Amino acid sequence: MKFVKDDFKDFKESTIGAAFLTQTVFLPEKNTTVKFEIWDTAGQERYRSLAPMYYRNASCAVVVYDISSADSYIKAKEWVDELRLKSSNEKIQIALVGNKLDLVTPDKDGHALAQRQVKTEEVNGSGKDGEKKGYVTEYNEPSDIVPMIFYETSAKSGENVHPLFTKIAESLPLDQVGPRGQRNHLDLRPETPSPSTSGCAC
Amino acid sequence: MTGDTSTNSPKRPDGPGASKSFSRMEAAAPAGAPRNRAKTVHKIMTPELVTPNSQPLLEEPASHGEQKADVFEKTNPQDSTEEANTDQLDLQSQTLPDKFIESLSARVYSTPPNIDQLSELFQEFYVRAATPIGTHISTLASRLNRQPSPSPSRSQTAPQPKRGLSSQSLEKPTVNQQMLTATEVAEKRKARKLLQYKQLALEEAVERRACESVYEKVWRHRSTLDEVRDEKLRSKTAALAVVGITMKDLGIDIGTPATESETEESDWLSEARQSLIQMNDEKFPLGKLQHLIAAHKAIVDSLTKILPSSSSADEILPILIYTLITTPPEGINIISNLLFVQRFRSSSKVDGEAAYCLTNLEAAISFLENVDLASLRGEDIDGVAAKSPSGTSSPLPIRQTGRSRSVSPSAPLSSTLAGQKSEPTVKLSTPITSKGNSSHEPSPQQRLTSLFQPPAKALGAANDAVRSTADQGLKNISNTLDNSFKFLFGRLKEVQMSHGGVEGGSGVPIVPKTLDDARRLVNRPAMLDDGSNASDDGSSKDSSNYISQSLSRFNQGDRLIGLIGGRNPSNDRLRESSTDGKAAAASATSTPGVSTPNAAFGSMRSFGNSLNPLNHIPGMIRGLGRAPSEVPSSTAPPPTTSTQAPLSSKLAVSSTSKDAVDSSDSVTFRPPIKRFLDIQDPAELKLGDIPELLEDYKRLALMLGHFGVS
Repeated sequence: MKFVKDDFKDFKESTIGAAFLTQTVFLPEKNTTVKFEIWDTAGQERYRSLAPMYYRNASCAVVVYDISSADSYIKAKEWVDELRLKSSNEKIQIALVGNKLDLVTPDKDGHALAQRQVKTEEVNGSGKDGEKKGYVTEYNEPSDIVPMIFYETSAKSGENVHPLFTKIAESLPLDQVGPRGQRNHLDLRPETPSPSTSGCAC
Repeated sequence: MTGDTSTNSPKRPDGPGASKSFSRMEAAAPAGAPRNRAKTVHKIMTPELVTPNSQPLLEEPASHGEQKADVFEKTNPQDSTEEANTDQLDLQSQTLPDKFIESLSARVYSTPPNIDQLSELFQEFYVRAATPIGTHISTLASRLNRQPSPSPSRSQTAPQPKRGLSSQSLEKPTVNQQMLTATEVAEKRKARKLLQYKQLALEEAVERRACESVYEKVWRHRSTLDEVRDEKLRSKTAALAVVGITMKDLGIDIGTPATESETEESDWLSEARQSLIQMNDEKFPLGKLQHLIAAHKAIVDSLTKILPSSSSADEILPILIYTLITTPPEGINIISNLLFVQRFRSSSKVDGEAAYCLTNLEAAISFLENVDLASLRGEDIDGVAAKSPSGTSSPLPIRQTGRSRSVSPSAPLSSTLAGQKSEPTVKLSTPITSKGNSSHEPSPQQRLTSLFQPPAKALGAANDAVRSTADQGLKNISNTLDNSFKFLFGRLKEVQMSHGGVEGGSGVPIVPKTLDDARRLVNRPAMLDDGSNASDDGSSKDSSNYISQSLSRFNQGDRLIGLIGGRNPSNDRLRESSTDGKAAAASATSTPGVSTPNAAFGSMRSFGNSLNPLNHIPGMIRGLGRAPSEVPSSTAPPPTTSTQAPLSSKLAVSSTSKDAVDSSDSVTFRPPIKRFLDIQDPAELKLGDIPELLEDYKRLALMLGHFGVS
């Protein structure tokens, strides 16, 4: 999990490493501080049945896939479905994140380290008015649903990670905020090919 | 009690009896109290702070009075007031839980409360207890805020940190007291922090006292099945340890070579294991929790050494599971500990890292409770089934399907096991003749079933033995292994010699007709003194008696097999685990190192040959003949040729094709694999070795039989 550990200086590591992290986000317009507790879950298939223990009581879940792996994207979508169905928190905020943006971004010479396998449009639709629907845009159509957040990030460069967490923090209903204006989260992120999830425990 | 020391002292003659609220009201007293007084106070405080007296202040007031009464008369009441306050608090942290516990026992229940109700009561109590503590702390805090000079308050705020700060507080005030400097502000802030710590400390003290006082009653409360669950888990982890679950099986691939990393693992995990075991020692939730967190930390620390870049849940959870498996089962009560913490830890304090660690442990336990080998290696088994040649009659795949079936409670053998309280992890390989496996003609298939039934019983017995003696068995297994191979080898030599001696003589070797025979032969030494082998010896000399002999021998075999379970459980366990191991290893889809397809196939063939009644004798020879040709090696012993004559005469009796015999002119054999002979400890045995080991075992058994060991 290079993601957080090496390259995310503002993530505060706990004594138990990258599996549990905290991150505080300040929202100026609400004058609120949101404290994320980021719980990593084991992404391997054989431990999948254990995941509900981790995301129960979570107020949000971040499902991360690797944009250079179509396979991981498929699995990420399965995770989203599972979270939707099984989470004890019906209003759980789900964020779908395509990671490893740095790998597919061409360098000066125009070479990218890896081939992108999941197109942004495929996930998020395209066109100004969403003429072409993507997975997320379609998912968010029902009005009674908590809209899924989508970002493409690079854990390595840190690109979009902060916006992601700010966005999540903003989307969380204020009534969940504790007395000190703090709140925690779990979120799940992936091992290399398989999506893992993390959530926010409140 | 803190802030007001210097300023209030003159106004407070009431001494130790002063109540909190009283002192708090006075805290508003003019800030302009004489400064020199404040200084004196500090000087007085000095000895008190430096001496170890700072812990329980119960007897302090008296000593104080004696020490300072003459000079600092006025300060005394004030000092003791503070101490009284502290006392009160300390007392509070004792009386609260004590009262609570009393109320627990006093209350009349129609039925004794079950653990959930108890847990609820405790949680309610924590909330209730937090209130007075909170009030008290906020009292102190407000006093602190109004306090102009933070130094005295700081020095007295919290009993625990007091000592560390004392030296500072002694020097600075004298310098800084005139004005509220930045340092003072900072100190004030610190003091507030200390108050928070104190609040926490008090709450912890309450919780601890409450829990420790009834620990014996609520730990594994009689309304729970904690102990049973622990027992189950222990047998399960023990079984998994016997089978030799590796990190790889749990989904971690540690880059270092297997041998190295295994020894390292056991070293670097020992700390984590220790922490898990130490959870038993603490009798209050926080203590247990701290050990759990320490275990996590140990895991992460050692992980960073091996995999520098990553310590995510992808590794931590599997390693936690692995740690649980490899921790000696004695004395581990991990489930009871987990539940104890969950029930009696103030729920408001289970957050952050602690919550995560608890969840991790819960997940690990849940995994272990629900896992069975079939699911752990589910893909692997499928892999084997796919690899095994579909057309051939391969007993091994049959056994594997049998095994995976036995996982379901409906399977006859496992149902007996499931009835017992511990779920066997090493599932028995129930020898069910798969109907789908139609490659056999009906009659051989029957034969096959009948052949396998007895060993199944033996294995059943062995399985029981595994569960009951898993721990000791672990230690025995290597010896048994060692001995049995050494015996085989020695026996082989002996036979060879004797054949060399009586070449052309009447010593007719007995060809084992079945695997049973072979196994029986192996076990024969145990029977030597029974005299039961006499008939066998006789039989071997008279080929005309062959058939009747074999019948009687078969009966005998049954008896022997019955004995196997009792006499040599670990030996059987070896076989059993090797079947399991085979299933798993043969497939380990991602393990290129394992040459299982060959190994498995080879043993299948010899197996199959030995089972077919029509051609088992030539088949045997063929099997023996082929194996060496595949693996050219070894001591081609001259005596083998001598067996030809008697054999062919037998073959004539049993009217099998002579061509087969002719094709097997040279029967060579290899010595047992040296590597296994050298193994001292079963822990050194890799999962991947088991198929090889089993095959070699069978091969040697066949050879023994070939030379008529009786």
